[in-house]
Amino acid sequence: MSGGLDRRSFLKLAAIAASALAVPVGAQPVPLKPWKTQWSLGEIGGKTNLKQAKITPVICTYCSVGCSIDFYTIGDDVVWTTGSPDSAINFGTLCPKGKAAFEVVNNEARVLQPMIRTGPKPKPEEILNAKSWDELLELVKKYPPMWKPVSWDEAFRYIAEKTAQILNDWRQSTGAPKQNDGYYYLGNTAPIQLIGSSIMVNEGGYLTAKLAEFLGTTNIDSQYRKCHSSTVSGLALTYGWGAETATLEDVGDADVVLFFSSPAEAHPVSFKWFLKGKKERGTILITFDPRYSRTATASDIWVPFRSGTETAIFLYILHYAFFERNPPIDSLDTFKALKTRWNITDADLDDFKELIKEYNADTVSRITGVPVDLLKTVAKTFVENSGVATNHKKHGIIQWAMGMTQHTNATVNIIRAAAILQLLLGNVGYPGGGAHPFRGHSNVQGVTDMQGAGLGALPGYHAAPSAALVRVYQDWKLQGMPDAWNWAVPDWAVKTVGTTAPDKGKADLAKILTVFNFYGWRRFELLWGFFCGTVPEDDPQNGTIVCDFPMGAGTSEITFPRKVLNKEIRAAFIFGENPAVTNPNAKVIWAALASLDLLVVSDIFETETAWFADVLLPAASFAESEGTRTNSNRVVQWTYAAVYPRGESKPDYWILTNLFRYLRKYGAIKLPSEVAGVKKERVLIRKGGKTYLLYERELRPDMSWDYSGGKGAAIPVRDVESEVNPRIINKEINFAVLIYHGMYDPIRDEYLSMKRSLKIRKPGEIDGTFATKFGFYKDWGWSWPANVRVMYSTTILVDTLGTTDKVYANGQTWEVTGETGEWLDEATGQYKPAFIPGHTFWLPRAFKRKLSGIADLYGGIDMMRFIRTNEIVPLGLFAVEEGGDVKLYSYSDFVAQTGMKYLYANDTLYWDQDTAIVPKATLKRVFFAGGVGWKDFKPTYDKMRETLKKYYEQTGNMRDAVNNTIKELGGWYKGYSFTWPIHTEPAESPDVEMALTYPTLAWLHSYNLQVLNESPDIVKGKPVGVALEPSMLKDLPGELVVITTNRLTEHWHSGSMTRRASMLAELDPEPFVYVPEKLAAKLGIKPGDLVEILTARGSVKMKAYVTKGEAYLTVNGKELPQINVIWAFSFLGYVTGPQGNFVSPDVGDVITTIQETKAWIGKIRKAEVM
Amino acid sequence: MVVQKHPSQTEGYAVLVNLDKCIGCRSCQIACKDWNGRQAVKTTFSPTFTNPPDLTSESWKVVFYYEGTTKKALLTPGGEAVFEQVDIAPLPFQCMHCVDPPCARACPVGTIKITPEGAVVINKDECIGCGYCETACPFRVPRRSSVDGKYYKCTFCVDRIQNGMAPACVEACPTGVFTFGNAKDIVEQAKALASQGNVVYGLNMDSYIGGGVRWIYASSPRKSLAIQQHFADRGKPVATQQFRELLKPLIVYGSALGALALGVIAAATWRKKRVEEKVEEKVPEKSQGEKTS
Repeated sequence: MSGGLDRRSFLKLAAIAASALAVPVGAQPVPLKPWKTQWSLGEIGGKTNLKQAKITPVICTYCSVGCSIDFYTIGDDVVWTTGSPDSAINFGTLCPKGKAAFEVVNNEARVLQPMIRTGPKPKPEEILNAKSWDELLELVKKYPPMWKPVSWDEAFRYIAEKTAQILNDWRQSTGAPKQNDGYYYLGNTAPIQLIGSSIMVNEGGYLTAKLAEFLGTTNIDSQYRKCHSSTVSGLALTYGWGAETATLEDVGDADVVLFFSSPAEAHPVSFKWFLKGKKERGTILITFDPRYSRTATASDIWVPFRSGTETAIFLYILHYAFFERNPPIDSLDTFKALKTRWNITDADLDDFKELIKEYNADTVSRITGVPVDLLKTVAKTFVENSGVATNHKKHGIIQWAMGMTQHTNATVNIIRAAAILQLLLGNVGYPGGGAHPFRGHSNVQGVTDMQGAGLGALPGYHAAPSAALVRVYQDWKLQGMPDAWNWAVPDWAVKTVGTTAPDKGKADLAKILTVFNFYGWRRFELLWGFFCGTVPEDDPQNGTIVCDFPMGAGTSEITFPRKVLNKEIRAAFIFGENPAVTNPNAKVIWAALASLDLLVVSDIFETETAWFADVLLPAASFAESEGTRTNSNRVVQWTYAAVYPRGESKPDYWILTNLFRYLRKYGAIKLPSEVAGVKKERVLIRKGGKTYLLYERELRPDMSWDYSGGKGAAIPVRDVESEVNPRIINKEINFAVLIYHGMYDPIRDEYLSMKRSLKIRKPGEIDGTFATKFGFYKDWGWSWPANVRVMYSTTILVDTLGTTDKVYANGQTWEVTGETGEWLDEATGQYKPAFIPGHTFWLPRAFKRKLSGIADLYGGIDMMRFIRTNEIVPLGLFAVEEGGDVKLYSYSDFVAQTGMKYLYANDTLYWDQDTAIVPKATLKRVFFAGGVGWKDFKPTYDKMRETLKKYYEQTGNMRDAVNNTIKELGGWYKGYSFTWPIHTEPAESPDVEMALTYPTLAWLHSYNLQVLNESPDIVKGKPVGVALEPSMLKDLPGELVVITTNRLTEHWHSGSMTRRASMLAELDPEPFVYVPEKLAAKLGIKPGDLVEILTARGSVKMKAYVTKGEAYLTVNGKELPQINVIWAFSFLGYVTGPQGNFVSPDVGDVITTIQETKAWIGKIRKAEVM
Repeated sequence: MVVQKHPSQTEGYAVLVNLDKCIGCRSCQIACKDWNGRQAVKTTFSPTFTNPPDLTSESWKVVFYYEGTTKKALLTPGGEAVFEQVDIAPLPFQCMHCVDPPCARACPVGTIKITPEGAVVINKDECIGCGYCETACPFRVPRRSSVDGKYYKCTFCVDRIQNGMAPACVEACPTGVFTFGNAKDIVEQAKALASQGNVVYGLNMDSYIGGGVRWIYASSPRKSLAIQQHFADRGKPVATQQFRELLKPLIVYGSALGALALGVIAAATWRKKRVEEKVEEKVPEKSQGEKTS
């Protein structure tokens, strides 16, 4: 009806009223709109096809933790990557580098074809004259490479022809390989250098060593030189092996940790173990670092100290233990037990204590800049949480990396001090204790093993031969390849071997180590088709020496640049390494790279080193090839190829094999045996005055490079691998390299490195109690030696359980006291414990061999054929003495007689009580022969300091003072054996008084003297020298600082990969300098300002990161600031920047030549604005 | 503005962020960017090391670094030795996923959803780029993309947690900083940590965000400088948004009440009229026999 409010209006009003109240109605907050509540997997980031992807586990290419990355691929495309959840190492997690690792695979900067440089290179003099980084950059712009893409064939031909020409020139001018007494190469005189690479898989690294041997050069080296070469020497000479003494997981059982590096940044995934320890047992974490690193962030306390003074710190901790602590540790029962275990005599200890007396808290505080109260607190904390002080209830760890290794005195002083400290405090060989050098590359351990630590040693650390030893070796062969206990050293060889137990039945260390080398040579003779011995074979004393293994210690990657500048080296092959950025004193290596007659570089990107190459070969990335990587804990893991090599790139093993073929074809490779006309070896055995022929071994060196095909578990995975198959190479490594023996099971045709099991073995199984008690994943991959995870743990079970343990294996019961590892039995083909009663020093170097005096290695089976076809073809006979007669058996008869069905699997090697007892670690290790201990050296030491001071005061010049002192005293530190470590200054010392009181060790090495005295001539007068003390920098403006370098989590080494990964580049786009806040205030430097660093090698400008977290210390009574320089940048990449190594010095460790990039001096000021 | 149902702080999922375990490696920052298909951009040197210096539409999770001084204690046999020194503490930061997210309330078109798990998700297909969410957020989280003008932020990896996986950052972290689980358990753990003397941030917060958040930070007093510095100017209710929200019920309820009142008055008026009409109708029936004067 009309009037007022009608029904419709009323309803309308009511509806509006209701909706206006906006009462939430169920899941429809906005009416009439579909409300999204569910997302499908990957919907946000476009990763919706994950479920269709294939998953391939790839071992990360970066650090040595060995994380496994699952690559999700569809066809040849990578759709996602993540940490492998099944990995016993990273359990599904990854650090940022690993997470972004896929970015280097499908990267627009990838080198996709072989290329030849057609543009000229800068002249060495131009390079050497550059006074600043900016000047060097200008030079780079003037000489672009102008790459010409070529085919692989053209590239290889170019390389082979040029190399042949260079090597033939050398052979002609020197007569090599002909020598006075035979045919062999003096490898260190060869004009060719091989470099790289610690990120190649073992199957590639092994081939670089093999190639060097075939070329006749011992000039071979890799990144381990710059990484832990000093660690390896320092530890090997103290403990037996130069490796981390325990596993990563074991650090979670420590009670106190001294960090001397930054694992939170360089090995992030490792850090969870330290934090586990913190949570479960309250582990005390102490960081020693001039910089407040991310490890300091996670530690209980930060101890800033002066770089290079680590020895003083360790000696003070011992000082506290022996002289301040009440009671002193040497009065404790635990210490007495250690004395027996580590072979420490009272006389040695006395001598050492005399030295330790001098390193009291005040002295050490003056040297290091650490305030006395902090020093004392830390020393006390460490000692009181160590094995010796707690009856082995608690243990401490010293963890380190480049901060301790990159010094002139690293091997002899710093690392030795750490190693000794741990021995004396009872922290080695016990759970939660140990020496933990964290290695830096995904396969640096593996490639160190494969290159034998470089400079011409054979894979697996068998030393290169010498002419004299080859004769002894031939005699050893005539005795039937005996182990040390079965070997009778002939009279004429006793001096050469240096043994005090020449007779059969006895063995001392010298005999054991010699047999270790001989045994290695024999393995390589067989697998490489080499000859090394005398001709005729039955006249070792007077026969002609013919040896295909080159002799003489070669050139390291630190010392090689000056050799190039001196024209001793004319060609270099650099694989997967970027020394133009990673070598110290950049101008020197740049000049060398520019002046080589032939530079071949193989890499995935055009790195700064590749920029100099004549030929750039495209390598396949880590996800595009397969093989094994050995991590820091010696765990060997198989890495699979997730995608196909991009463009025309190829895996390293393919490149090296084909390089060999071309070098061979074009006459670059001439073996001494070939030049001597030797085509076969008569394998003879001498018994009871008569000589018997076991077989004639045809040398087949070329066949040893045929890696095509593959059967069974070695069936090639793709066409690339059917040409060069890493699975065959892996088998060769198994049978050639003793420490890797066991990685492949020939009876079951299994690659143990492929095992990915999280099983924890149970008591009763081999190492079952060990695994259960300490939580080790013994079936994840395989570790050397013989799958032992914790070295030197001979009595670990007895010490923790109080009794021995029983293992049931191979039909027997075994009584064990430590970790034994496992080994195939030659009769049953079953596994049995390897090292009885537990692993100890020098194993497997000391071994026994049942076939000693009976047959050649592997019974003379053709192993070269076996690894390729799985066929067993016996070539040799077995000579058995039976009741005064010698009977020759065929292989099948011998096997029937003895039951040794599987003698080819393990060459009848075994270990027992003899091999366990004889070699022991020794506290005392003489580094320089002809010297004396500390007490006797002290007067000479004082004289040396007096003489140095005298000459310094006379001339006012430290360089002259050093040279004059050497002249007057006939040497540097002459007369000290360096049995015990002492503090010595870095070559560039920030305090002249310190430099005179603790003269640097550097001048003990002839290479460092070259640097000091500007050699070779081309460097004279150029800014590439060293400033020995501050007055040598007096003409430079700015404030004096101690300079050191560091890494960042986000970048890896030279940055060639990480600076091309956009996600990492975003995090750290530029290099910078850590400047202490106090110093910044003094110089008017604000955060982000450009600062200039001036040194004896020129200057570089970088932005300043101003922080309280950088050392500003009082050293020797004076204020001394320190700065940290980031060195991961250079001129090529997605992000670029000034190069830190432009200003670092190229002096090196006196034993291994690792560069002293961790302690030098310079001046700093705010950069002038032009 | 939108009002949604949201799970309580002990319903759905939550993450405990244990800063004592953080080594500032930024694997989480990269894992997030990688999973979500975001772009890396060219940056420059950051004086604080934090890079990019703040959250962006491409960087939904950023690790912030803070420098300060703290007291550090070493336990020795003779007792505790205390040293005061610098500390640099990292703090991984992303959307806090408030229990009652003001961004969701502020969004005029209902783009921002709160899932049953408690994830606060901007559905980019519906975002109109108005920026109301950014204004409303007390943590300065949502960021505008210069490419498409829309707003982006952490989604709590809703496309993972709804499919049986943990968020990408949680999975990647090498030291286990992030514990992802049922909110009930996480809150309990956080409360336990607080009772042990640790600093906890994310519980007992303003009703503006629903009393708390789902990404709860915890650290020992020693490492708490990052929480103190980072949240010094974050987490407080945003006045303009509060005012809007105050006004809204006034307007909404006011208008509803007004409309209702109008309706009632109208009904009453109509009824009155009807009564009057009825009365008029009745009168003419009576006058058929008689004339009115």
